[in-house]
Parts: sequence; structure tokens; C-alpha cells
Amino acid sequence: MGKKQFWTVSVVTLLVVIMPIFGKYFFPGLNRYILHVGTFMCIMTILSVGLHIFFGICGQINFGCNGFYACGGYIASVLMINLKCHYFIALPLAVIGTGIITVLLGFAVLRLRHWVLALGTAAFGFAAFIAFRTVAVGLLGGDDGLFVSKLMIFGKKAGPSFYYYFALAWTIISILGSYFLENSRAGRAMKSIRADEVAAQVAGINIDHYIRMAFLLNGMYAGLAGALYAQWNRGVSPDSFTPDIAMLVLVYVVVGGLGRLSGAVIGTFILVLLPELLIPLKEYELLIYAVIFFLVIRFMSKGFVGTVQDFLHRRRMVRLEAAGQYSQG
Amino acid sequence: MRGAGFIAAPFDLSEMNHSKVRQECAVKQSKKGRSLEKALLLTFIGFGLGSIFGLVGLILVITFNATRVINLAVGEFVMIGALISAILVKSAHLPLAWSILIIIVGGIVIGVALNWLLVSPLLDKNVSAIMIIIGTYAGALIISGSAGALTDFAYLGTPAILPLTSMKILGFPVVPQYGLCILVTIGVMVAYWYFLNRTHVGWAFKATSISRDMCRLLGITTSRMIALSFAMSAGIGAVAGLLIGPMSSVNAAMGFPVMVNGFIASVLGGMGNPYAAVVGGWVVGILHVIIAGYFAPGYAQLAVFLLLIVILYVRPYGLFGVHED
Amino acid sequence: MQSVNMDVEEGLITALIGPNGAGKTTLLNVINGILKADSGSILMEGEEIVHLPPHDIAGRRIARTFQILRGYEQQTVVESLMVGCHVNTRSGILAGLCSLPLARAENRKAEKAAREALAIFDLTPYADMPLSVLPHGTQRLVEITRALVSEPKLLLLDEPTSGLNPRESDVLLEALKSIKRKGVTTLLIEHNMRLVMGVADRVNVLNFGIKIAEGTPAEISKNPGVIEAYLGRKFSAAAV
Repeated sequence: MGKKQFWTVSVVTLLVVIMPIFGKYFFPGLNRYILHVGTFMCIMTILSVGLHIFFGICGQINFGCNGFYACGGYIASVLMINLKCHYFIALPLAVIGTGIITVLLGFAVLRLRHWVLALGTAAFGFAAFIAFRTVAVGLLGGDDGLFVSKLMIFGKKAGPSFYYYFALAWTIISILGSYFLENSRAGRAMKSIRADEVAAQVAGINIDHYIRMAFLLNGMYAGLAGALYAQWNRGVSPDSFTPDIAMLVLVYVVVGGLGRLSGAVIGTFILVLLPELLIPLKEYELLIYAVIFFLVIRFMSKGFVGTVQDFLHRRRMVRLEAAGQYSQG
Repeated sequence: MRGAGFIAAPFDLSEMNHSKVRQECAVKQSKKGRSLEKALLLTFIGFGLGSIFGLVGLILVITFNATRVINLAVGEFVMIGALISAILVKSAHLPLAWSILIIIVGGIVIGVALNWLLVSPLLDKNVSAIMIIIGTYAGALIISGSAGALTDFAYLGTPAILPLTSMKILGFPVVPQYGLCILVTIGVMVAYWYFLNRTHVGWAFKATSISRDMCRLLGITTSRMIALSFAMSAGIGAVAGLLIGPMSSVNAAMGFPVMVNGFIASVLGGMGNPYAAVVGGWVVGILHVIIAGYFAPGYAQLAVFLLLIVILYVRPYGLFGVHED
Repeated sequence: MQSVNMDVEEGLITALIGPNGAGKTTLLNVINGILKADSGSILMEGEEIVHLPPHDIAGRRIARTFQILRGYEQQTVVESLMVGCHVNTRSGILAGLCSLPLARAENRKAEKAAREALAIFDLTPYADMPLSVLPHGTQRLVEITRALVSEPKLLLLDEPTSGLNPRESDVLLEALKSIKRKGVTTLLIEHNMRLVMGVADRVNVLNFGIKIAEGTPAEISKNPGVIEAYLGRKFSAAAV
């Protein structure tokens, strides 16, 4: 990573970390709201980065992230309610549990490719949503969902600040994980799979293994997001995990820029912030979202990050050529 | 917080008007001999509902064959048809024939617009198929969102063309509205076959599905063929909307679950074969209704998904599909 | 492809020629494991590999180039060369995720090997450029370099001059001569007879899926069966 990029990322991270402290003193009334949006943004970012690993790096399609998200949330909730687990134990167990479910689903769908895989995973996402509404209502709460008691840390109730920093820490870990993965041997292998599966195989890459692993990572990231959501939201219900969410995460990744980690993060940032800014136009929120999405796909197929990078690259090339002409003249 | 709230409701049979029919069966089922009648009736209803899913699958295959892109907005074509029919028949009290015409034209306009604004430009830019598919999803959101903004996402009722109560023809239990669906679907299949194999335009159209590049060399305007595919797809979809309206609750967000079931129908049949898509639709419809009738409506969609996953595992190219390289 | 029986000798360049559709690329695909053979065996250094999955065959140090590379446009030259090191390294996904020392060491090693390999065909000026901006000939050289980075025991070249103009083909000929000097065992599929005659040690001829001749380039150019198979084609510079 270049020096300029390193500094940009560091500054952003610093801002994100000190923002609530700043806000508490200068905008106390607004601070709670900012923390709320910020925590939600962190959870969505984890979802997006997970999808980025499977879709952006490895090139496979998953339309059913909401299913894994729901699994994480429900497993964490059930563990805390029925087995009286402490949250810090329930969280990793939920991630592992979601991972197991991901592996099981993988047996069924990972032989498929392209839009068939999209349909298979979408079917899972949809089915998970329906299942959590209708199956085992005694255990899973049906339409009403489950309620989770408040989290106590050292005798004090965990507040919005705690949840924000907790989610932020996990988000930073998730982003770092994806960054390291992309620049490693495994990441290069996955990128080769995305480019051309046959050529990748012939180069020695075991594509089945890497696709399964990428799928597992996608599922576990989503499970983590779900477990974070469960305690933060003090509960889970099917309405939090509609198939919409799977499509929404897809929109985040695509609008930000498919194939780039920064794209997934920035896309999530912009598109989670947008409804908050559009609150006055609430009835048209869905429509505005859809129009932005449509315009990006139509005109900016590389997403925000990709298009901006292309633009900067072209400007640099023009400058280089002009300088070259000067020296030749 | 919430998602866009768009896909919240799966295709829920308990919300359909024909649950009255099911209740009728439940009451009559006190005698043992009635269970066969119930099974036959449910199967018939399943065929009817499945015909609609099959139509959606068929229109999906039509545009898929022409463009290799899955149009996720096909459900919206159906929704537009249902919505327009609800508005026209209820509010404007137009006679049925005019309504049908306006519905078909309305659908075609939307379909051609989607092609012109999104699909064809992206196809020309050589964008990857999955991006175009995601683009059609954006298109679906816009269509649904606009319709929702205009109607406030209200639930509108549509009167049935034929009665929705069960009756007997030759001792066989039928529900006329569903019978109409089946007949129209078979009619569309025959008409489509005739179009492909007996008309000049249809021959050119078929050729476009096989190879766009070759067709350009032959002087066939592929862009017109693609536009035609969208027009046909949307027109037929709108008619399906007209038929499904009375059977289910009509609202601007009804398109997505219909699309999902139609997509499953076409995949079950084997994507690429329009007639197999209709058969797939029948399978999906019958499964839906049987599970809803004998167990609970909530499990119907779930069962369909499980069936899909099983079939994809055993035959990834569908029941009638052939692996193309 | 129906019946082919051939040996590829170590250290030599063996060429495989034949009219279009004779089954040459099919043979390479079977060797690589992309296509499954109905019968027969493929022995690599005495070991049977015909039933192995493609990535295991690559692990036996068999490297292959393709005629058309789709999808790799975004990668830079160095990145695509680093993929060539995949068979030589072993850090896995967990090591990658957590940036374990093994993963970082292998990253450094792979980048070093990639940058050094650029020198083989004078590709150093292009090191950090994306593949999409390079001319075809240069892309082809990058492909071959990627195959060489893995230090293969057998190099399979599938029509390396296809799509290249005469000047680029000359550059490729020099590249192949350089490979020959290094002693890399190579199986070369080609239509360009000048290339084949200039660099091949042995030539096998395929027609309709059956091997019809084998010998030195000089012997093959005089073989009546071969000339008949190529009816109408001229062996320009190869006429001896």
C-alpha cells in the first residue's frame, strides 16, 4: 500500500474513533443518534466485506447473505436466552455455528456457478427468512422474534458508546483480515479463480477448496454481523433479516466498486448514510435508492471507487504525456 | 433498522382469495371419500397457480435466450398488469376487452423501456452478465417503487373474470378462474411455438437466441430482436398479471415473490427451454398448493426452495436441461 | 482425439503440429486434466497422472499457457507472475487472513521471484502495468514467463504465436530459443512452421486425432503423409 493511501486510512480511522468523544461534548443531543447510525454502519460493513471476499475477490455470486446474517443473530440470541451464555461466549459460538451452516449449504450449492448459484443462494436467503418466521416458533419466536437482556460490563449497563466501539473494533479486524487475505497467496489464487477458473486450475489452484473457503468466510463474516446486531438491538426478529438485506449488501458492494475492498467499505458508508440524510423524503426513499443504484450500474459499472480511480489515473496519464511532450520539445 | 422493506412478504397462499376454496374443502372433508376430491381440487388449483408461475418462467426464458441475461424485473411486468387491471376495472369500469388491450400495451411499454434504458446499452458495452442482471433488479425496484409511490403501496382488489368457487365438470372438481389460467398458458405456449417455427420473424428471433454474432452477419437486426423479446415478455407478463389479480392480493410489491417462483420454475425445467419452464411452473404451483392445503401455508414457499436445492444438486441443468458449453 | 502415442524427451522441445481440428489442443487439455480421457495413460516421470485433478497435475510441475486469456485485465504484470509461484508455495487461507509470518515471507519470496523473472524476456519496464494496456505479443511473453516462474518440469505451449504480427512472432522465436538454451522440457503446439523448424528438436504430426508421423523437423518436412495432410499448405522456410 502506498504512502498516501496509508495516511488516508490512518486519518479516517482516527476520525472514526474519536468522533463520539468529540460529539459527546459538542453535540450531546445528536451524539446518541450518531452512535446508533455508526454502529449500524459498522455491522453493515462487516456484511459487505464478507460478501466482497466471495464476490469481489473470488468472483462467485451470493444473493443470500441475509440467511447467514440471521443465523448469526438467532444462534447468539438462543444461546444467551436458553443456555444462559454470556454474550462474549455466545458471539464466537454464533460465528462458528453460522460457519457450520455455511459449510452444509456449500455442499448443496457450490457446484453451481453464475446465475444458478445466485438463485440457489437467494433461495437459501429467502427460505431462511421464512423459516425463522414459521418454524420452531417456541424456540425462535416466530414473527415476534426473541428478546435479549441488556449486557452488563463490570456492573454497568453497556451503552451506545460501548456498542459502537465494540462493533468498530470487529469491523477494523474484518477489514484488516480481508486486506491481508487479498495480498496473500490465497488471495491471489481467489482472484485468479475470478478471472478464469480453468486457467486457475491449470496453474495449480484447487478451485473447489478456495471457493468453499471464500464461501465460509462470507458466512462467518455475516454471522459475526448478526451476533453483533443481536445484542445491540436487544433481540432479533425476522423483519431484521429480510431478503432485501441480501440485495442491499450486494448494492453496497457493487455501487462502491466490485472487486475492491475500499469499494465495499465506501459503498456501505455512502448508502447507509443516504437514508439518514433523506429522512424528509421518506416515502421516496426506496425509489431514490433504486434510481441511484440504476444510474451507477448504467453509467459507472466500476462503482464509485473504480470510476474515481479511473478518472485519477487518466488525469495522471494526461499530465505525464504533457510533461513528456515538453521534454521532447 | 430496516431494509428497503421490499421483499418482506413471500408468496403467501394464506393471503390468496382462494383460501376460501380451501376452507370449503376442509369443511367437506369430514367424510373419508372427500379426501380424494380435496386432493384433485388442490391439484387443479396447483395447475392453475402453476400456470402463472410457468408463464413467468416462460417470459424469463424468452429474454434469457435472446440476451443471456436473467431479467429480474419479470415479476414487475406481472405486477403492472395486475395493478392496471385493478385500477381500470374497478375505477374506470372499462369493459374487459379494452382493459386487456391497455394492460398489454402498458406492459410492453415498461418492458421495452427497461431494455432501451438498461439492458441493451449494457450489452453493447460488454458489461458482464451478472452486472446486467443486478441492473434489472435495480430496474425492478424502480418500477415497483414508482408504482408504489403512485398507489401508496395500497392493496387493490380485482374482480375475477370467471368464478372463484369450485364446481364440477364431468365429476371433476375445477375452479373456473384457474381453469382460465391453464387454458391461457397453453394458448401462449402454442402461439409461441407457432411464432418461432412458422413465421419469418420468429425464425429470425430463434436464430438470435442461438448466436447473436452470426445473426449480425446474416443481416438480422439483433437489437430489434432483443427489443421484441422484451416486448413479448412484458406483454405476456402483463396478461399473467391480469389473470393472477383476482387470486391474490394486488399491490405494488407483489412482483418479487412472483418472479422468484417463476425463476425457480424456469430453472427446474432447464433454463433455456420455454416449454419446460411452464412444466416447471406446474410443479412449483402444485407443490405450493399441496403443502399449503395439507400442512400450513407458511411452509409452501419453504418446500419449493427445498425442492429447488435438491433438484439443483441432482440435476444442475434442470429436469429437461442439457449442458451447453 | 482418437489414438496418440508419444514421448516428450527431457530437455528437448517437442513440437506437435497438424491441421486445424486435428486434436492438438485437446491433447493438451487431457494432459492438464481439464478433459477426461476415456482410456489410456499419461506418465510423468514414470508416475500415472491421467486421473488426477488439474491442480494436482500442475503440482507435478506441468505448466501451460493459453491462447486467449479472459478476465485478467485488471492484474498487473507482477501480480500475474506471482500467481505462477502458487505451486512453489504453501501458505493457506488462515495464514493469509492473519498475515502470519509464513504468508508474509512467501509474499516477499513470490514478489522477488516475479520481479527477477521479468528479466528473462526483457519485461522489466512493464512491471507494474495492468495487462490490459500491453500489446498482444508482450501479453504472450508475460504468459510464458508466468509458466516459467513455477520452474516447470514440463512446459506446454498452446500456439504461442496465434494472433501475433510477424515482428512479435520473431520476438517469440527468440524467447523460445532462450527456453531451449535453458533446457526446459517443452511441448509446443504451433501452426507457424518457421517457428517449429527453427526451434523444435522433434516433431509429432497429428491428423484427425491420430498421430501420423514423428521425427526431426527435416524428416517431417519430407514425409509424404504429412504433406498430404497439409495439402495446399506451403512449408516456406522449412524446405530443405
